[in-house]
Amino acid sequence: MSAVPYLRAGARLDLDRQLVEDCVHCGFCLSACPTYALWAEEMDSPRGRLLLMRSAVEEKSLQASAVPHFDRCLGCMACVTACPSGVDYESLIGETRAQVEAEVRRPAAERALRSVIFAVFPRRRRLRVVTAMLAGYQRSGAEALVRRSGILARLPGPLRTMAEIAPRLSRTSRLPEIVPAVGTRRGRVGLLLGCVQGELFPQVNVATAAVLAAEGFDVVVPPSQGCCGALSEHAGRRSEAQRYARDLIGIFDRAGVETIVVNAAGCGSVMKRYGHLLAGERDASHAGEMAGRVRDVAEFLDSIPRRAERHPLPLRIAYHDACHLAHAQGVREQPRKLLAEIPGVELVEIADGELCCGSAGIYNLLQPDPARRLGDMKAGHVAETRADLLVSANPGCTMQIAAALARSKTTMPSAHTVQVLEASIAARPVSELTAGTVVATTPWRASRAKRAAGR
Amino acid sequence: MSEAAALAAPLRRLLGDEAVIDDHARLRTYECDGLTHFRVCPALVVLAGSVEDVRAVVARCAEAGVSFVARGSGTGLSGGALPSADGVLLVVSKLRQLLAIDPANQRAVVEPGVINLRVSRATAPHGYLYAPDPSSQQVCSIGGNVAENAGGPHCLKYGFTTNHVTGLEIVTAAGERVLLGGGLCAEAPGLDLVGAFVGSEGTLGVATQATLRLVRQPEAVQTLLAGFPGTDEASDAVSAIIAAGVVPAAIEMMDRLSIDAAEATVSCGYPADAGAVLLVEVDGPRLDVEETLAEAERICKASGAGELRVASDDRSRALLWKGRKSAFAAMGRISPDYLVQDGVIPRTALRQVLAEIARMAARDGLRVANVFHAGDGNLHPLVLYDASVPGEQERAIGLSDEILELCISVGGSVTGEHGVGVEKLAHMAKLYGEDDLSTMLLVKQAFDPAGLANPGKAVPSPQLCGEAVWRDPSRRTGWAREAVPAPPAPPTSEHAAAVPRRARPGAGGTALPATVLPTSLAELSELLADSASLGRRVLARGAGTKLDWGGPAPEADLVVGLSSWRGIVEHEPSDLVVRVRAGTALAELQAVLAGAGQQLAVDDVVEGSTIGGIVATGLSGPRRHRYGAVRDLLLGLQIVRADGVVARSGGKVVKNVAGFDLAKLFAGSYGTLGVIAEVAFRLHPLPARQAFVCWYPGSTGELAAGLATLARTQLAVSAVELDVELTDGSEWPDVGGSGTPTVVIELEGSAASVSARSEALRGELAGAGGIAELEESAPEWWGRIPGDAPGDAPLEVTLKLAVPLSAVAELARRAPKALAGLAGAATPGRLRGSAGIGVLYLGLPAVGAGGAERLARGVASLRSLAGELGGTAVVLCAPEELFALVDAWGPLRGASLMAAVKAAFDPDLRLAPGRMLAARA
Repeated sequence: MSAVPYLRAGARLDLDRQLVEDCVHCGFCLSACPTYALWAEEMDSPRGRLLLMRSAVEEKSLQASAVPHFDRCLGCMACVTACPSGVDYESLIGETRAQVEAEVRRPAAERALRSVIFAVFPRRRRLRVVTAMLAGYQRSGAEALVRRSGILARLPGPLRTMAEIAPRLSRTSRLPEIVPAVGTRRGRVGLLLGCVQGELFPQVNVATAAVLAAEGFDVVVPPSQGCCGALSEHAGRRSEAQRYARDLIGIFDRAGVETIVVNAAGCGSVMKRYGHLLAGERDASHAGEMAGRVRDVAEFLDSIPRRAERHPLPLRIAYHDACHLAHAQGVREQPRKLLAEIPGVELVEIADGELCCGSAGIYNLLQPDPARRLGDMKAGHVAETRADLLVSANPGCTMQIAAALARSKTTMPSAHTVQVLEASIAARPVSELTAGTVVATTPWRASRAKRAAGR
Repeated sequence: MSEAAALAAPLRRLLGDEAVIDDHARLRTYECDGLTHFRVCPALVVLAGSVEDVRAVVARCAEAGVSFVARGSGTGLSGGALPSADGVLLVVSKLRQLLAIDPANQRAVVEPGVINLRVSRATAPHGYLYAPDPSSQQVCSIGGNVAENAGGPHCLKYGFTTNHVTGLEIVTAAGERVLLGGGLCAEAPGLDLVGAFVGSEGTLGVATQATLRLVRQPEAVQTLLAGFPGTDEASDAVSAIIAAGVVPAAIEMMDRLSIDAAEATVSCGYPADAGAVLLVEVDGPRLDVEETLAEAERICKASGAGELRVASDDRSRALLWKGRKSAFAAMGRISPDYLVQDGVIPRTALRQVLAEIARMAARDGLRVANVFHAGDGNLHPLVLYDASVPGEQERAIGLSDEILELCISVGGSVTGEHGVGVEKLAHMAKLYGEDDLSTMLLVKQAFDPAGLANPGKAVPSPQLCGEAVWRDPSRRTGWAREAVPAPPAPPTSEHAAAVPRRARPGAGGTALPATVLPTSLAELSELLADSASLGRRVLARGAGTKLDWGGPAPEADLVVGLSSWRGIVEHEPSDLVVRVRAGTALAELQAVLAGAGQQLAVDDVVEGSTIGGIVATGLSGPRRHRYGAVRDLLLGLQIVRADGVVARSGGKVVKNVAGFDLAKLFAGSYGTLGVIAEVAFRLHPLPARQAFVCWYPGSTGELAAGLATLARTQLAVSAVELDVELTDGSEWPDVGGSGTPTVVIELEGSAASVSARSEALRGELAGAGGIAELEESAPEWWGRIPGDAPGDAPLEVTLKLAVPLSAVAELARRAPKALAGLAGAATPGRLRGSAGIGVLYLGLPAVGAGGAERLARGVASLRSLAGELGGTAVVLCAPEELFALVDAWGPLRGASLMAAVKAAFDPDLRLAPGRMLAARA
């Protein structure tokens, strides 16, 4: 466990006391909380963190010993789902993190790590450089060498995690600014690319656009879009998150779309809370209005009458609930429904499915040990399903679980919900999905893809 | 630095840095459990990582004289795990290993931090479940369940935690690890310390391991959701269902406010226009479920139900239950603050009490939501208030207290499952008298003389712990003093008739003085008080059928006969409860109850027994399989202590966790702790129809296979009895003929159900082999110990054997060989008893002159056989010469604690001297 950080003298925590006192301490959150699952200690449970907040507020003093316990929260919001009293833990932990960041001085190594993470991940261009290096590392055979050498086990936690979880990158086409609807146009939607999704899993964005187009929507992909701010907000870097949010709001304002479709659960969960993120700012109401138009891709596709024909995919699929989709956005049934509608698909549930896989944004980089243990637990349950394919709606989860599966010498291909839909609509063979080689080739490709391919 | 805080450093050295918390911010995360009105920051929190850690911490506390509070998940609703400001909070939630799942013996062995629901999840693949299901079951831990004797909706049918724990490992307040109870066996010899410990709210020690009884999953489950105009109609329906003898697995009621709160949380789809809903869950064999459900529907309709909906798939059932189980905490959505109460009332009083609560709430301008276990009469009124409104909290507390007083006034209890904790401590004095409470504290004194385990909880202690509350006996004088040398009444003829056919040496024997027959409680009390002041040894006696059991008949100066203290005190048929005086003959009681279509589900295994004798010996027969042992049917007990003080525990409601469970402690105590004066029992309806399947296995292999089939069947059999003649000294031969065992299985229910199930059962047994025949009536030997049934040859010695379920067939196979030394006896021995429970009686014949030594060798080899199979053997009755050669009880688990209990209740060792414990005390 990490060292207790240094806190500015006289540090305080100011929270809405009413919100904190909404907790009736029933404990229903305990069984939902991943850190409680690991350690069974009150300080690392949601109601315990609420008591840490409560005592800091009541006593007008934030204690340094409380900070590691806030840090260890994955922000998975499983407790929010479990809470019968409706405690707004999401707001409280967000506010707490923001205030802690302002008061805390962390150990040097951790500070360095955080600055690297926030210099790279939310910046797509920098991330692209890193991914290019990563692709080179993978293709050159160096990766195989490193994995064989056992060097990984000796790397410091965060580096080891990064090296382990990086997915196999596929060469894929990049998207044009507008992907036109197939057949009669039903509407016009915007697509968020996402930093990690866009750079590490570009094929998911391609599949998303393809499915939306097949269902009759023009898909607008603003090229200059940046980070949604999720990583920063989840780490308490509020002003940074607010900056990202404002930029993105502006970009989608100009795109002239009704709905903004997001296929990365973490991004969607924060964008739906832009009103909260910018609360008190003069553009808060505009942000709230924009947040109201954000839809997860599964949520959106389930809300419209199906048009594109689904072709059979004889597959046993284990669907993994990404926390930021299931708990933070309450989207559980829709992806299951979409997948189950595909002829031949058999959906299986993952035991303890509500428990986080340990990815949680950048958690697996900042808290590598607990993340790893949670990943191993999840991988165990995933392996038990004996499914042909693991489907998840978040790039972080996909990487985390794949890495944990690999550690346990289990192979199970993974895909995003929309990739499965795309494969069904395009009548692809199952092998393309399970081999992880799906590259969408859709009708728009003939006309515009060539131009876009070089981007 | 407090003494507790001073323990931080040594405990860190012992357990590691991470295990000890002493900084203020983190200590505060342990300041309360599920009851947040009480918050105390502990001096020290210790996170135990192993049982050994628990022992070490408690031992340190004992050494330093520091108090400790054990805590599991911290979800209790009475403040049972509230820390002491100057004590150690010992957290056991990290001890969460499922140590063993043993489907063949229907047990799971778990550490105290294991979450309740996890037990059922882990045993489900084997076809079993753990029945007690508190609403917090997804998060509460078994250790906490044990401490609080947790209940839950399905306890209506299956009973509470205390009915499902067969063994414990505890760390005593002195810091010693002790095993208690039968574990894999259904019972253990000696005092029922497990029964005393469960529900003691952590005041007797820390449970570090529990052996749980698993229940076979029912074949079918259906849940009926019935919407009523209001709680009046819903209450009528509950009373009518209970009175009709219909036993659903659960009957839960929610009023409008609770429905609103639950809907706000989980959108469970309760009827939008109903003033109250009932959730009636029925489980069992498919055919029975349909019948019972139809009956419940009919009653609901007749009581005014509007919408009736049946959820038969798991998903819709789960949603209905989710609403119910989230209801408490969901109150947070409709009210800023609330108080949960846990009163219990007779089920016939539901309508009246709910109406009165509503009236009081309206008077005080407060809202009260009701969501509760209606089938048990266990109310959970939630008094809603807003603490920010001046005066409202005080009014809410006042109303809440008044509701509990209302419960007491209708003959109920202040807590059905949440426990007393700190919250209801003050109410204990209203529910019980000073003598009752001081008697409960004798248990505390025995287990924790230094008073360090969870002080200030469960039972209020008017004086410092460790000081027993004794009446001054000298102020008593009276007829009993003179009566001692010359009894006022000779044994009556009725009394003499109660002596069994088989003459037992010692019974009514030469060594005993004549019997005194008090005719009132006051006389009984004075008799004991005077005996105390005169130092007289006392033996209590009912019909005298078992005076020489469990050892030679004790030498006594005075025999107190209860046979004049008889009669039914109260029988409320629609509540299925009876209160009866100890001297009443069981047969007499059964006759009266049968008139109301009811029964006390206890067998007269020794003909002529009185209620007092039955409780004191705790013997069970066939009915135990379906209805539980005597201990499980006890609701309350009135006793007279060795010093003459009259005390009671429990009550006459079917659910009650207020105070220590003295009834469990007295059941099977053989008169060593006090004289039982009056008993309250839970009753059951007489079955509409019975059928018996007689099965004759052809070999030991078939017997084993058949018993395993019967253990796993979902046909809800009511009894599985084995009867086998132990013909000679060889192992049971694998051929038919005389000496082969008979297994008789009883089925109860409606005519249609019984006949269908008997047929189905024959089919299931066909897989094991042997021959199965249907019979209309039970065999003559049914429910009698070997040697006591009409067709039995006379037997001289009776043993009680308790073995794990899966070892019964092996016991039957090897018992004859163990008795090889008895070959040549006039009559063969006989093994008979509850093969479906693992408790059997074994009768041995007289073997002629000089037979005591041979019998003693036979007993010894049977005891070692039982031990080898994981069980125990107790010599119930035997000639005095044999008792001189063998220890009737064998090794006792927790013997020193038993001795301490004996010493607390009977410090001069004057009650039934020599029996069971006195020699060890």
